[in-house]
Amino acid sequence: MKLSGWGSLAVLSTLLYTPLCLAHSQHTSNWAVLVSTSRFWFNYRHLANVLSMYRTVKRLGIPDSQIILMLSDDVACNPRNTFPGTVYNNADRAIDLYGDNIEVDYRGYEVTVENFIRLLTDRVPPDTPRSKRLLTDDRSNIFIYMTGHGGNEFLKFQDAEEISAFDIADAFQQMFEKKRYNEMLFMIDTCQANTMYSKFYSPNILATGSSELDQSSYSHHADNDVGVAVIDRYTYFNLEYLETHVKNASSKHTLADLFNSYDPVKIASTPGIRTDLFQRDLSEVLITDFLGNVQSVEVDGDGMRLDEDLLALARGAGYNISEAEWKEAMRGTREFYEASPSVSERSTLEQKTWAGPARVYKDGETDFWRTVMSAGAVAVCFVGYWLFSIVDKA
Amino acid sequence: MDANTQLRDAALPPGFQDDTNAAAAEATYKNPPPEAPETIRTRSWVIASFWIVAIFLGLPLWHATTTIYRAPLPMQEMQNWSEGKLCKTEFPLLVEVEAPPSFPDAESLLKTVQHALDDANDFAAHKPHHLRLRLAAKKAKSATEDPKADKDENVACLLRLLPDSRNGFNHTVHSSSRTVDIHYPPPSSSSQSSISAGLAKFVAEILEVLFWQEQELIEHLLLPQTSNPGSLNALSSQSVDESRDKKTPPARPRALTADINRRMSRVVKYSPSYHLTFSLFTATSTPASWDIESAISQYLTPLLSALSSISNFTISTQVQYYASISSSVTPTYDEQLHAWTLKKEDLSSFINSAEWPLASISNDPNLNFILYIPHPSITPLTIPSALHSDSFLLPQWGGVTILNLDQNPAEHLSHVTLKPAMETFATHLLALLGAPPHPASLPIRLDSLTRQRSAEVLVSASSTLGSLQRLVNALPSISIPATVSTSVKDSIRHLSLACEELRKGSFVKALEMGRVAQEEAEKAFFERTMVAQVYFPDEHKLAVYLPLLGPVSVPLVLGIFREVKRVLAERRTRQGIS
Amino acid sequence: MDRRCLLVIGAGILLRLVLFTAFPSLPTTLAQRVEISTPVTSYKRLQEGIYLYTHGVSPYDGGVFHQAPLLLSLFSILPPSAIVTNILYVLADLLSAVSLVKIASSGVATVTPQHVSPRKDNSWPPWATAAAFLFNPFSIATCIARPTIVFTNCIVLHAVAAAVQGRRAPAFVSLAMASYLSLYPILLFPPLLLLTYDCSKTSPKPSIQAFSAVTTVLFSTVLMIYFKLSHLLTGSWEFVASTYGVHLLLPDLTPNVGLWWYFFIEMFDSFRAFFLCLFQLHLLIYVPGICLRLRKQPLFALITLVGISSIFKSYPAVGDTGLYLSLLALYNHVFATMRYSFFLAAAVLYATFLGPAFYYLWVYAGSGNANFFYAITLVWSIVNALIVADALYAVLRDEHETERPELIGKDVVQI
Repeated sequence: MKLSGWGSLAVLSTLLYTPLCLAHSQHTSNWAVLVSTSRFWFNYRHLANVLSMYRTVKRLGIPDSQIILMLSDDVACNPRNTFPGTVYNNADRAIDLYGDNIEVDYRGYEVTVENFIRLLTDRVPPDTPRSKRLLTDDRSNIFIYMTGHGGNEFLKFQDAEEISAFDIADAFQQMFEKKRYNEMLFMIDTCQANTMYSKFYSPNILATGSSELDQSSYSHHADNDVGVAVIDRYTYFNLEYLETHVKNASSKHTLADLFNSYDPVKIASTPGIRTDLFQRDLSEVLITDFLGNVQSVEVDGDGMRLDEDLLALARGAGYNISEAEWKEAMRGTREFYEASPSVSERSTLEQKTWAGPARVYKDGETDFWRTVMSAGAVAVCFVGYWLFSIVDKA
Repeated sequence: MDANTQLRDAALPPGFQDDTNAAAAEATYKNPPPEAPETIRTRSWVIASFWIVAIFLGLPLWHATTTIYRAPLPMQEMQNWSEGKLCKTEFPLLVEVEAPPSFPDAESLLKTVQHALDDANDFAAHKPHHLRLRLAAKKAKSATEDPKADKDENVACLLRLLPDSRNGFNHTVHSSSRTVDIHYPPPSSSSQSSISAGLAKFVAEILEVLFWQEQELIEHLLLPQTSNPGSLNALSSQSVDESRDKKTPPARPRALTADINRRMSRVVKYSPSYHLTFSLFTATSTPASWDIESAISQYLTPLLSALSSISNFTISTQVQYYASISSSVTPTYDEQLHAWTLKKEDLSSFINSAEWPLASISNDPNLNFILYIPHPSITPLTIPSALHSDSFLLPQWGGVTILNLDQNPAEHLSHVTLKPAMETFATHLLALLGAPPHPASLPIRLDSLTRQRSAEVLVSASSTLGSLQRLVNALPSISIPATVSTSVKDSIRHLSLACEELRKGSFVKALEMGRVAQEEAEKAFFERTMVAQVYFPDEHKLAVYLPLLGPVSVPLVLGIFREVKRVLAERRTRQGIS
Repeated sequence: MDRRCLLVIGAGILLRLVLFTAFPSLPTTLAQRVEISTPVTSYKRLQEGIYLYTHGVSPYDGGVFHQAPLLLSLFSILPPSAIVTNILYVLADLLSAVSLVKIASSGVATVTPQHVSPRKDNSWPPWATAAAFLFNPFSIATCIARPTIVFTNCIVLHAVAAAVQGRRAPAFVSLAMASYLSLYPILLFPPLLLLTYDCSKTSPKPSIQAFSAVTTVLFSTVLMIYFKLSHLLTGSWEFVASTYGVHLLLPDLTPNVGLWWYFFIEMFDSFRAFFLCLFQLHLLIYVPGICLRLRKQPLFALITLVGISSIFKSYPAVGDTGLYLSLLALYNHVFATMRYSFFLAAAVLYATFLGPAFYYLWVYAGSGNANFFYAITLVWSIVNALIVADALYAVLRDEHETERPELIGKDVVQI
C-alpha cells in the first residue's frame, strides 16, 4: 500500500467516487408488497389485479417468502362464483390465477390500514410469523402494488376505513429513516391514483399511478359467465407489456420502456409517473430491479479466497472441541424446535398471579376452607347489615 | 331537563272574542306572574351544577384523554450519537514484537516503526486504528507479576523477528495463531544501522498489509455516522449531493472502494444469532440421505465455536428429492471440458425459489447452504468461471455447491463425500459473516471480524437513535410510551460503555455492549404502540366531536346565556330603581 | 300489608314458579338474549365464574366473568341445584315486591315534608304498585333469565324502602351492596341521602351537613368492608379491574339494548378514552341538577336517576327498565298530566317486539346487519328517555300546581 500515492489520486477519485450510484445498483434482495384493499364479489377485478401481479413477480423469481400478499380473498370461494376456487383475469379464462400455489399472508379482515402500516414500519406484535413481516434492509428493493377504491389522497380499505396519502408517505419516511429499503417502486391502480403518491417525500421512491386527480380508473372488460369485470385497464396494459416483453428474470427491458408503453387512450385515464425522488435515470433501471429477483452472484475466484483447510485452522487455533461439547452445542438447535413445552411451562409460571389456593380441584371435590370462607363472607354481610342497623338506631 | 318550563295561559281570557279592540286585548292578556326568588335560585344552581361538572371534570378528562403521551427522550444526546460526536471510535491495536536476544537495539527499532506508523496516521487523521508496539520481553515480566492484567489486554498480533540469511526480507503468517514471522538478513557489523532502518520499514509495511483491509472496511462503516443521512423535510437531491460532496472522505483508490463495496454487499447484517439451513437438493431420488450431522460436527463445528464469541448459530437440515433448477436455466454442453456448463447469468436465477422450500421459520437471519446434485443426464455440471470448486455465493443469502456424482451413486452420502462441500460452505459462511479474506491467520481474521462487527453495531445503534430522534420531531402525532424512553437510555448507556471498551482495546466486550445497545435501540424504534396515528387533521377532529357534543352543548350554552341575561336585567332594574 | 297485597305477591311468585317448572328450557333461552343478559350480569358467565372459583382457578382469568366476588361466595355455598337457584331468584323478586309495597304504603310519593301533591287522592293502592312490578313482563323475563341484576334491583328497592322509613343504616348498607354489585347504583347516593333525611323521624333533626357526613362515612366504610371481604375471598385485587373496570372501560362489545356498544365499535381508537369519559360523565352530570331541582321530592329524583342510568349506563338490560317502570308506578297519580302516554306506550311495545326480530335478522338469518338492531336500540333508548322526560314534566307540573292551584287543567307552553 503506497500511502504517498493517495494524494495524487485525490482529484481523480473524487470525480469517480459516486457512492450513491454504487449503492443503488447493488441491491441484494427483492421484495413485493401486493395489496388489494377491497372486499365483496363485485370487486372481483381488484383481486384479479393483485393476483396477476403476484403471478408476475413470482414468475420473475421473487420467492413467496419475499412477497407479502394482502387480499380479502373472498372471491374464489364466493357462492356467486360460477367457477368455484378460481380467479381469472381475462374472459378467455386461460390462466387460473388462484392456481395451486398461492400464499396469502394477510387475508380477509387482516387487511387493515393498521396492519399495512405495521407491515411497512415493522412495528408488529412479537409473535408475528416471518411470512407476515417485511424483513428488508438497505439493500432491498421493494415493489409495492395497491389496488382498490380510492379518491383524492385516500384509498379505502375494505369499505371500513381508509388510508391517506399522508399516512403512506409518513410510513415510507419511517422506512427510509430505518434504512428499510434501497429503492422502491410504488404502483397503484385506483381512481385518482396519482394523488396517492403526491405526498411522498422520502428519497429513492419511484411512483406510478393509473389516473390523475378527478379521473376515474376503469375496468378493462367483463367476463359474462363470471358476471363481473375481471381486470382493470391500467393493470391489464402493464401485465400485457410484462407478459410479452419481460419473458424471464434476465430481461434487459427498462422501466422507461414500460412507462413509454402506457397509452392514455387505451387506458382511458392518464397514468402518472413520479421520478423526482428517484436518483437513477429510468432508462437504466431494469424492470427486474423491482419485479424480478436477480441475485448477484459471486463465484469462487473473483475476490473470494477459498481456504483449503479451514477446519485445520480452527482446530489449530485452539478452537478444538470434544464430542460432548458438540452435543451440547447441537442441543441448542434441537431445543429451538423442541422448545414448545418448556416455553409454555415458563409462561404459565410467569402468568400465575392468582394468589388463591394453589391446587386445582377436580369435579365433585370441594374445598372445605373456601366453603367456610364463602359462608363467612355471606354471614358477615348479613350480620353487618343487622349490626349497623342496631348501632344507627341507638 | 325541563327546569325552566313555565306555565302560561293559552286559553283566551273570557270576553276576548267579543272585544275587537286590540288595546283591550293587550290589557286583558295576563303576563305570567313573576317567579318566586326561590325558583330562580334553584334554577341558577341547577345550571351551575351542570357547568361545574362540565368544567371541573369534563375539561381535565378531555385534556388527559386526548393529549398524546410523549415520554421525554434525550433528544440532543441521541442526535449527538447519531452524528458521531460523543464517541471517537478508536481501535488501539497492541502488537508485540519478539526479538531474538542477538538482535541489537530492539527498542530503537520499535521506536522507528512506531514513528513510521504514527506518521501514516497523522497523514490520515480520520483513521480509527492506532497500532501500538511493545517488546515481548516485557510481556514475560508482567505476566509473572500480574497474570490477570495481561489477560485483559488483547494482543492483536505477535511479530517474531528471525534472522534468515538466505532470502532478504520476507514474512510468513502462521495460519492458526496470531504469530507472524519476519525474516531478515542477519546484520553484518558494518551495515547494522542500514539493516535496522530497512527492517523498520519492512515491519511497518507488514503491519499495514496485515491491517489495511480491516482499516478500510471499518472506516467505510463509520462513514455514514459522520455524514448526516438527510433531513426529514424537503429532501431534495441537490442538498444530498452537496452534503455528500462536503463529506467525501479523502481520496482512496477506486478499486479499493469497489472492493469494499462488494464485500459490504455480501455481508449479512449483524445479529447475535443466525440460523443455518443446510439443504440437499437432488434432481432424482438418489442419494436418499446424507450424513450431515457428523459432517457438520466434524467440518463445521470448530469454526462455529470459534465464531461463538461473535454470534451463535442454530442449524437445521433438509433433503428434497426431484428438485429441479429453474426452467430458465439451461446448461450447455462444452465439448472441450466434456461437461455441462453454467454461465454466470444462469447462476443468478439458479435457485428455484418457487419450488424449493427455503423459507425459514426462525426469527434469526437465515443463511442457506445448498448442495445440489444434478440429474445424471446433465452430469457433470460445472461452473467454468469458478476456480476451486463448482460453487458460488449469493450475497446475504447463502452458498450453493454443485456435487457431481458418478453414474451409479450411493444411496447415502457419507461425510467423507461431503467434506469438500462442507469446506466450501465454511468459506462461504466466513465470507457472508464478513471475515476479511486476508491475512491467512484465522485468529487475526476473527479478531478483525470482531472489531468490524463492533463498529457495525455501534454505527447501527447510533443511527437508529438518530432515526428515532428525527422521527419523533417530524411526527408530532405519534405517541411515545415510557418503554421507549427506557430503551433509549439503556441504549445510550451501553453505547458509551462499548465506546470505553473499545478505547481499552477489549473488543469482545465492546461487541457485547454494542449488541445490547443495538437491541435496545431497535426495541425503541420498533415499539409496537408507536404506529403513527392515522392522519387526522383538525377538521376531522371537529367531525368527531361535533355530532355528539354539539347537540349536548346547546341547552348548556342557552341555559347560561339566559342566566346571564337575567342577571343583567336584574342589575339594570336595580340601578333604575336606585 | 293487607290481604290484597299478599294475594298479588302470591300470584306473582306462583307465576314465576310455574314459568320455571312448566318451561324448563325457558331460563336458558332467555339467558341467551342480549336484551336481558349483559356481560356484567349474565347467569352463564356467573356459572363459569363459580366453576373456576370452586376449582381453585382465579375466576377472573380468561376475561369471561365480570361480576363481584361476593356473588361467588353466595352461590358457592348454595347446593348446586337449579331449583334452589330458581327459588333464590324468586325470593329476590318477592323481597323487591315487599319493598315496593312498603314504599307505596309510606305515601312518600305523594306527601313529603316540603310538598303535598294536589292529586294525592288519585294514587294507586300499594298492591297495584306491587302488581306493576310482579306482572311487568320485563321483570318476569329478567327473573326467569336469572341475570344478577335481579339482586341489584332487589337491594336497591330494599334500600329505598328502608330510606322511606327513615332507617338510615339499612338503607345505606344496602345501597353500598348494590353499588358493590354493579357500580351504577352509587349515583343514587345523593337522592337517597335526601330521602332518608326527609323521612328520618329522629328529633331533633340533625343539620343536613352533619347527617350527610355521617352517612358518607357509613357508606364508604361498608364499601371498604365489602372490598376487603372480596380481597380475602379471591386472594387478589384482580376483581376490581375485571368488574368495575369492565363497567367503566367497556372492553366487551357484545350488543345490548344500550347506546354504547355500537358507538364504541365505530369509534376511532384514539378517541375511545375521551368518549368513554364523556359517556360516564354524561351519567354523572344529571345527579346534582336533578337533586337540586327535585329537592322537594327526593324519591322522584331517585327514580329519575334510576331511569337515566337504565338508558345511559354501559351495559343496560331490560331489567333496568323494568325497575324504573315499577318505581314509576309509585307516581301513578301524575300520569294524568303526562302528555305522550299513548305514544310512549305504543313505542315501548314497538321496540320490544322489533328488537328481538331485528336481532334475529342480523345474527341468525343474516338478512339484516348490525344497523337494524342498533336502530331499534336507538328507538328503545329514545322512548325511555321520553318517558323519563315526560314523567319529570308531569311531576314538575304537579309541583307547580301546588303553588298555583288556579292553573290546574290549563295547557302549558314553554317560553
